[in-house]
Amino acid sequence: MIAQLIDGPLWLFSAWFFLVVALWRLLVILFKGRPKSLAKPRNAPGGALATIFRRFLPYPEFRKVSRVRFWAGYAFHVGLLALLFFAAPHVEFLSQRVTGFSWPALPHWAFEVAAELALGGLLFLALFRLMDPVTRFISSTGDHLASWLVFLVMLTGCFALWRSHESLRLLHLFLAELLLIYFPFSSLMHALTFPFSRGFTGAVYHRKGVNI
Amino acid sequence: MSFRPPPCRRVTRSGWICWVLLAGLALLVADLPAAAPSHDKPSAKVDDPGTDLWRFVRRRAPELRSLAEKGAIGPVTTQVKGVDTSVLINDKGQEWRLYRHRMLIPISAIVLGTVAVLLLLLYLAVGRRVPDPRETGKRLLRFVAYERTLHWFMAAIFLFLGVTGLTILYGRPLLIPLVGKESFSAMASASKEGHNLFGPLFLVSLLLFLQRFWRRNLYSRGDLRWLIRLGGLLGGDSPPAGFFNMGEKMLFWLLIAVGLLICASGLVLLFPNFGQGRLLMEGAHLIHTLGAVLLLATIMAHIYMGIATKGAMDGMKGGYVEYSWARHHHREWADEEEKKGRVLSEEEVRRRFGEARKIGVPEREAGT
Amino acid sequence: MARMKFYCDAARCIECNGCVTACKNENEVPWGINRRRVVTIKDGVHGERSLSVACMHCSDAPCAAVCPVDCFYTTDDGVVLHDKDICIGCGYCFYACPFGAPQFPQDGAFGTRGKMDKCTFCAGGPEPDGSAEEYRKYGSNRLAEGKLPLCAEMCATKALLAGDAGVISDIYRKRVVNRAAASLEWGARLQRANFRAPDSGTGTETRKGHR
Ligand code: HEM
Ligand code: SF4
Ligand code: SF4
Repeated sequence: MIAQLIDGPLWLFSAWFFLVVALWRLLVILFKGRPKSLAKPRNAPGGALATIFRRFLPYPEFRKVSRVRFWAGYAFHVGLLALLFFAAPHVEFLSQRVTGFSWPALPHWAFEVAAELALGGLLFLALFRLMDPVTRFISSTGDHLASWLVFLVMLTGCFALWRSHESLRLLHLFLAELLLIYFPFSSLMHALTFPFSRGFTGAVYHRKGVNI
Repeated sequence: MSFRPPPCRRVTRSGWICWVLLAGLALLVADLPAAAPSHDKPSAKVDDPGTDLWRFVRRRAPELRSLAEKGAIGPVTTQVKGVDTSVLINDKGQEWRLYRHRMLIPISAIVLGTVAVLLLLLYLAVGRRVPDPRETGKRLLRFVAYERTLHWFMAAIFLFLGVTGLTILYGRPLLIPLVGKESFSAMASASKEGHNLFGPLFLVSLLLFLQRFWRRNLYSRGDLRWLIRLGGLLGGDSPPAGFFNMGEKMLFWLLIAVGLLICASGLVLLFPNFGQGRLLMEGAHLIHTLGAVLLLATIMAHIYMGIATKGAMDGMKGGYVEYSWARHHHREWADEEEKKGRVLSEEEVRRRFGEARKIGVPEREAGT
Repeated sequence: MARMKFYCDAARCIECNGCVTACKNENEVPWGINRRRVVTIKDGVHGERSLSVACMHCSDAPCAAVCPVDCFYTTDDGVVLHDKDICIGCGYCFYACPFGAPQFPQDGAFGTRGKMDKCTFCAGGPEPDGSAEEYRKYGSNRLAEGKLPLCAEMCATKALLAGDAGVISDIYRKRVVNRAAASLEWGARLQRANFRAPDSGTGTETRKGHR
């Protein structure tokens, strides 16, 4: 009963819910538009793209203090992306249920390395969020919740790694569905909005002649 | 007729010397090569040519190989490719089974259970020890955010590994009767995968720990005195200590050494595809489990101390400790920090934690 | 009800590996696994002997004792089987087994163990007898069809015997008696009846004498 619910209707609901609400939020943000800037333009338009890419590295001033977070962050994000879209079970699932076509998956060892990176990175970052006074101060309950929810999804995924027990796969799927539903309401939206927010900042400041 | 007990005989000193000499002689004689049998005379004993063959069947491949090289026997071969396939009988398997089932499972249960119960009783009896209740309102920074994160990172991984490992170890006697074989199989499979994935992360955390803390855990003067007085456990004042006291230093090096052993043996078990034979893996399992039980018992005591000693957890929670706590437990360190002018007020600490507005620090300064 | 046993007669086995091949084919054994193997002792030297080994279906099976999820069971015929749905691939049965019977398919470069696989005495697994599911996981179930394991059935020299312990020990006992009689007839020493002589010379004496 519960198994069928998780594998069928709940999956469809959470996937559509995620798609619709996330898109809606994105569109709301985009259609808000930019406030009119009264400053005299100091530069030709076009600072957005550069900033989108420059922000992949920390400011030189912060490189030393944020070194650990930088590496843990990259380990987590790269590991997670590799897991999400190139782990063999995910490729199978997505190609059967979503896209209808398949693509090459990572070999098993790379899958496990990616899992190590993602789990280790996220555990470290989630704890750092609690331990560092500054990040703790600027984190809301939702931020903590989002970190640990993603961690739980990945943990149950690693429980189900052997792909032999249906119950473990369903547990993983269930948590992933919860995550999909929570996603559009949380700061996890940064996965979709980051190019726009970076681009926005870049465009505004470039126009004002500030190099960031 | 009255019975008289015989006089009590005592071995005199010269008697002892005689015994020792005799024993030494016996050892010497035993070590001497037996007189070489003469080959000229026909022996009445006829060897069964089969016995040596069946004896070799029980030997392991390396021994057989060395015997083969000496020309004593021919090689042992098989056409099936693989590790250990030419070993006919793995007689160490039974020893491993006896180790796991007669020693590891009962003894570790007793050790871990006893330690847990004793510590719980101690906690209930003594409660949270209050070494120095004085609230000075002064604080010292003990661990920065990275160090605290690292500690909890390692702690989380360690506990997870302990729980998953013990699930595999005790699940059959304890959990199968409760949840049944099918459900336990899922739990055990999850534990195994989780254990295998988090194992290497434990190694990473261990190495980061070593890199960060090794210097502060080197032996320094006065540590021995601290140890002899058991850190003040025997009464009296706490003996002075530096940043870490001797107990903490011993825990650190035990954790590093045994942890590395556990990781090394764990990796041997984790990758069965590098051509290691059963013998090596059985040995690795032995080291792995002995180390794990030792560390688990030690860490239980560590957790008890962290909880029972008032003020000790502060350093690992927010990073700042009460000045009087530092004076009591780490006097040399506290004095040094004071000399360097690093004693902070409670307000300053709270400001750093972002409760700026509540205590009226101007917004600009607090960075909001 | 029987007590099923394998017996390999070392005086007869000629290391043809027919049993290994028969098993692999009959049971569609996974890649990289041989449920049965032939080991040759004193290979190329006088007194060479070969033995075909697989799971011996132990009475007090060490594999069953150490399995953390308790997935082994002994059938009414005394065959030791296991349930692949419950197995977690921990490898403990492989450490404990004296004969190296449990083996693991390795998937991927990390070599993580798959579900344990071992000789089933051609008796399948816990699924319904003869079902496709049973065949996929464990290979064929010849015992349910009233047949003996194919390895022994295929053995050209009848070195490998499978069947009820009483029957095969009777067969072997007769063989031993016959061999001893033959040896005595040829004048060889009784002790040599079952074993070729060590590398002491031409060896012709026992060569003739022992079969
Ligand atoms: C210090 C933390 C650790 C503890 C407390 C721990 C504990 C255990 C225990 C109790 C077992 C079960 C033994 C049995 O059932 O007989 C086990 C097995 C095992 N451990 Fe650990 N372990 C730790 C760290 C590691 C690390 C760091 C690794 C790998 C690098 C590792 C890899 C393994 C493996 C591969 C097994 C065999 C289980 C299987 O094959 O599924 N462990 N461990
Ligand atoms: S697998 Fe090994 S231990 Fe288990 S019954 Fe077969 S021979 Fe005995
Ligand atoms: S590998 Fe499977 S059958 Fe063997 S001991 Fe582990 S769980 Fe049991």
